[in-house]
Amino acid sequence: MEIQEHRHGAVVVLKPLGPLCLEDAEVFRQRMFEVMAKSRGRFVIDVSAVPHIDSQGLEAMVDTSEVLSQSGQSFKVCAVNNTLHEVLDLTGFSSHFESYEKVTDAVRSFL
Amino acid sequence: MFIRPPSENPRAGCNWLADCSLVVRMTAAVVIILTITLTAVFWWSGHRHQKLIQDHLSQQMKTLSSDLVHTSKVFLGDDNLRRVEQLIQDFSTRHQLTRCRLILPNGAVLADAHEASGVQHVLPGSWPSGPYTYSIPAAVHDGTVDVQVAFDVTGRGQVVLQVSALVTGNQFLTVQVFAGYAGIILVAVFSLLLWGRYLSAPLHSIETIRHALLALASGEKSYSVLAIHNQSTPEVNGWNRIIGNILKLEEIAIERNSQQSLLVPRKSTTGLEGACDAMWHGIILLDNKMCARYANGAAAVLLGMQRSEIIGNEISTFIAQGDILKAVQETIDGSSLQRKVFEHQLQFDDAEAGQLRISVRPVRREDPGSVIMIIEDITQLRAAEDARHSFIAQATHELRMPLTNICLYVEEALENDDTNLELHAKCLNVINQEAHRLERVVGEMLSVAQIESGVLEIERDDVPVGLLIEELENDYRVQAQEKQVRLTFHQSPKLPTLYGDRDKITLALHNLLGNAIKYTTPNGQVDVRIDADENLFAVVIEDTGIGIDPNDLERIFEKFYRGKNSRISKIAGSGLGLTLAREVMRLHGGDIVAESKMDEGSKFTLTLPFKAEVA
Repeated sequence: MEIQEHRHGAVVVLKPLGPLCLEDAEVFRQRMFEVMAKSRGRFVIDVSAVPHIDSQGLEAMVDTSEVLSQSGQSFKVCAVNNTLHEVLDLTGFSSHFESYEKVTDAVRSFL
Repeated sequence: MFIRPPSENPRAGCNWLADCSLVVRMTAAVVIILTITLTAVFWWSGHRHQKLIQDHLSQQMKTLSSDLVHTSKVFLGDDNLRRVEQLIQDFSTRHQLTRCRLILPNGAVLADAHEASGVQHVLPGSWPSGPYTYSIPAAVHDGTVDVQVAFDVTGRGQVVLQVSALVTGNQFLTVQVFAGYAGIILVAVFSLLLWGRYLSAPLHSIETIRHALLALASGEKSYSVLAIHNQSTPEVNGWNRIIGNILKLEEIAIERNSQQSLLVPRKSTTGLEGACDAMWHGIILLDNKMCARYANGAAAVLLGMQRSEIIGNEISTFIAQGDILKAVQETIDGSSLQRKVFEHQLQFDDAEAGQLRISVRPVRREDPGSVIMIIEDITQLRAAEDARHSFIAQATHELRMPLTNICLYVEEALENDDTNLELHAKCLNVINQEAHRLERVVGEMLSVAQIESGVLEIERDDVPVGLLIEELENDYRVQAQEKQVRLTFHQSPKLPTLYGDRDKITLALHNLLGNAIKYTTPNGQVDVRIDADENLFAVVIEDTGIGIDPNDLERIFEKFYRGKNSRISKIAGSGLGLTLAREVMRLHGGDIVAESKMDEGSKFTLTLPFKAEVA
């Protein structure tokens, strides 16, 4: 799967293109951990191009969130669509992530 | 969005055969096959019918000719030519022959039922024999059966009987046959219509289910999309139930797996240590030997180390900055009990550079033996400050230049004689130009600020692309001619209609084409290509201009950024146009991509979806 990477100042924005399922979820997890280490947690996940997510994709996000929370940081996602909202609400994980409407809002939260 | 019944598909009719519903395609196939089959049956039956009539007539003609030969032979033997003529006449009339005659081998006619002239009325005494055979062959040519039979008249010579008749079937029988066929067709078509009417609803449902299956195969997971609305046939109800159950099972699986994932014992802490780990800032406690007694998670992350590499080790192993070490030492010594703040630059080979703010102070003022260090990550803050400073500096520069020119020319106009109209006109012209430039810069800055603050609104409406391109061409044709740049538009005769903000799209196109002409030297070329498919509208603007340095290529979309090339700095520009153009396109769900080679030219591709969701 393609994962775009943009920089907004000192913040890295990761934008996966496509569903976060099966082996793609593992690719996404590895990429998140790389970026997390490199940027010392200053990163945002833009999920505007993620049509749906399965349990593996969700687990990758939860794992990353757990690691971040051990150092007082938060997992920040933006542009969450209705399908993803449904999944996050259903699984009770919506409270695990900091959710923003736009990328700029998420980036500004690092100030 | 949901799966629409085929007839409601908005794309229906674009590609007739591919987009037609299953019902239409099946009906068309049945009608075509039925038509071809019935046509083949008609043709074959007609052909066989005609052949049978011909065979029957040929046989009949041969039998009759044989009888006629026998009788003629008797009369000719008696030298009674008149009776033979009468016989030929009667025979022809009775059997509706088109030809019936007796001839001699030399061509002389003895009797002819249809031609009176040239007939010999006296039978010659004898005549030479001819080449005719005595068999009775029958041949069919152009719908006519021809029979020719030769016989000998005793003591005189060979005579030939020639008989022809038109092949005409039984008209009544033919009408009956074809009426039967027509009846069969009518019954078949009627049955087909009844069948189609009866199967229309279930086939419609099956077609809609097929669409839903295709959506499912392409990865769609939402029930609202996969469920079929506006139909309540048993097939659709069954499908909705199945898809509902599948998605529910998937949701249950996700929930179960996720809960299991949560139940996996994770490394967690409680109490004071947990509270410190939940802090966004790093905390390090140092004892009187300058060794770390405690470090929270954030401290380890911000210093780019493992917690074990900090705790128990001397401060110099994880912070090398001399003034911080000195401050820690002074605090432990008790010589300084004030909080001291430092900025610490981090530089790693495998991680990005960072800026930390480190505060050093005693844990308790009355007990200076222990020190607490608070570490904050201010990298993004510094990046934002740098960007703001850069913006202010560039904005000031952009505003000051036209203002300076305006002031200069106003002063010059005031200081000179009022009668010098030429100078006054020149001054007013420059002031006017600079005022417009100022207005444009302020307008662009305002738009950029609106985009960044998220208050810029896109007012969408139908935008006829053809008209837009025509206006663009008219606006820049003269400018290109004045600069001796060849400007060519390549577009299909019929362009679609976009759904977007006309003014904003125009602004983006003007910026791109204006730049292309501006940065192209005389005798250069600017090509504008407009392409559109079902989903995407694209404008490619390609020039043979001075090109963009690869290092500047992505930065040209940053605010106020202008290339470092000296040729670029000579050309007026605010450095906001491309920023605005790209942001406006992104607000429409589209984008602008740049490609360029130094001294060869640049290519900007603007893409825009036809009916994009609001970005």
